[in-house]
Amino acid sequence: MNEVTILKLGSNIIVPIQVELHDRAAIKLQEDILARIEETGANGLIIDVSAVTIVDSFLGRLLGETARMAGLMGTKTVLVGMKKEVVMTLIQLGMTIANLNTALNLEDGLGILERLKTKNNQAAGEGART
Amino acid sequence: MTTNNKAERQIEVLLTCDEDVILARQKIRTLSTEIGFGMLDQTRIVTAASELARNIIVHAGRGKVVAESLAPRPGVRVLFIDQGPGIRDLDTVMQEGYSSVGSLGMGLKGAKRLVDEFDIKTQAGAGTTITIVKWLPTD
Amino acid sequence: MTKKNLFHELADLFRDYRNEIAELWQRQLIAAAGNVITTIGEENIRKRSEELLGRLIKSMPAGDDVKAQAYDPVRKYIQSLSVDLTAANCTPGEVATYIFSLKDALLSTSQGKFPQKGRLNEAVTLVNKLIDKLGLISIETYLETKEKLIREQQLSLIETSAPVVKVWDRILLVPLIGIIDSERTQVVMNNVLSGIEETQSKVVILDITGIPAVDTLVARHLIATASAVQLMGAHCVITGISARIAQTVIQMGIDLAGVNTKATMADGLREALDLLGQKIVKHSIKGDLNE
Repeated sequence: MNEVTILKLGSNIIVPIQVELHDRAAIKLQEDILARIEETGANGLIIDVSAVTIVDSFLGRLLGETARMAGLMGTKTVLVGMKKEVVMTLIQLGMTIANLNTALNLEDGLGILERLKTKNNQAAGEGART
Repeated sequence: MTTNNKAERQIEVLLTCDEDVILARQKIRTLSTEIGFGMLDQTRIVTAASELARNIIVHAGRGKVVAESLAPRPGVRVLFIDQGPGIRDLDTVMQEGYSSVGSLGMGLKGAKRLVDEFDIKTQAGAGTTITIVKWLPTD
Repeated sequence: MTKKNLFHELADLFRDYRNEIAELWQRQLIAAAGNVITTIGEENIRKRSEELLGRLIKSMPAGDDVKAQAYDPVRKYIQSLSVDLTAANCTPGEVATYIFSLKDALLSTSQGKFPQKGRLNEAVTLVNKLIDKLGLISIETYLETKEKLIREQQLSLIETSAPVVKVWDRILLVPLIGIIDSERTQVVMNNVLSGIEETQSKVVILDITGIPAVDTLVARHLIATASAVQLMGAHCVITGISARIAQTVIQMGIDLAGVNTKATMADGLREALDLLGQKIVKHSIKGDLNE
């Protein structure tokens, strides 16, 4: 048990966190996500936290780190569905997760990944012309 | 703590590993719900508890959490007790801007901001007891 | 013991000369033509003076501890008098002066009534102290009333001044007015995040035109609110950055780099539409107001 399902949808990886993660499980999830990116070469990563009722400083930091690590591997991350209470508590804790793409829900998250991809392609195309 | 309130209901969780932190969180969540806390305050209490319970696992190895509902003024009090090395130089740890994200100070100061009362008793080599209280809002 | 007797003695004396004292007091008030008498009228003030004097004579035998239970009727009367008079535009100083002026009437009545050597001096000191204390009650009442009013206003400000308005499909506008402290910030944040949840809005415009000054603390609260909006999955645009605010922010070394800011609310709305991939365009048919 305590396993988090990691789904692949097109060129994106989707991680809906449905269980309460203790620290070791959270670290393992990070490893699993990065391994899956390596294996599939995914362009986008969506971490869906809409079922998560507690994000403390450890999990908050870990999520931010995972996004930056994925970024180093060329994968854009969008964090989606964070609950209002979780957001307010995190802010009060003094946490900020800088430079992280966020969305209200999975659908909007996929939209953001789509736009980021087009932008990237455009940038690459322009780069090729000059 | 400055309260004459009596404890009504009590729960206790021994902390020896990561899984116990989750168990403590769940039990405190249930207790807070029973006392009548709304979602936001529940989240604050459980998040603070998560920070402080983790500190015990990381810095003392083992300890326990005791949570109790308070009356007649309704609220919740949670004690985090360990016989670990204690916190040396507490003032520096609690200083604003001292700690980096994820360190001991971040957990302690963050937890303190989430509750109404926060008290640390610590002695080098003899352990630490942290007490937090959250009162049920009156309106 | 003699002191207590003196209180009795004075109370008896003032009771006997009650009408004379009231008359003296009244004449003096008319002569001074203070604001108190012009705002609420001669007859009105006479009635109140007589009532106050009557209550004072009854309480006096208990001593000069005006906080004691025996002085309840006097205190209550001064309090309501003070509330009425300040409501009628008298200053707290004028109200206190009105009460202090009772001294002269009492003292001139006492003259020649204490043949025993030194007794008159004692009586004068005593009356002075007592009336001073009564005058202070009126000032304290004024301050308490003011403080209560301020507290009420603060509360209503907290409740009413954090409206969240849906101005466009998936765009929320939050006009911030007045003082931004941590309590207000919690209320605003809660309202904004609930608004995002309910309307599934993608952009929040935080308009600070109505905030008088932005210091480090206010900036921290604004940044916290913007971060919260962003964590929820929406964009935050802070608008209403005047030249003066821009100056102070930079001069105080506040880092707003991570926050999307615009000068006016209109700019913010344009930015919000842009973020949603929308645009307002002129249509070809001339509107009624269009030249």
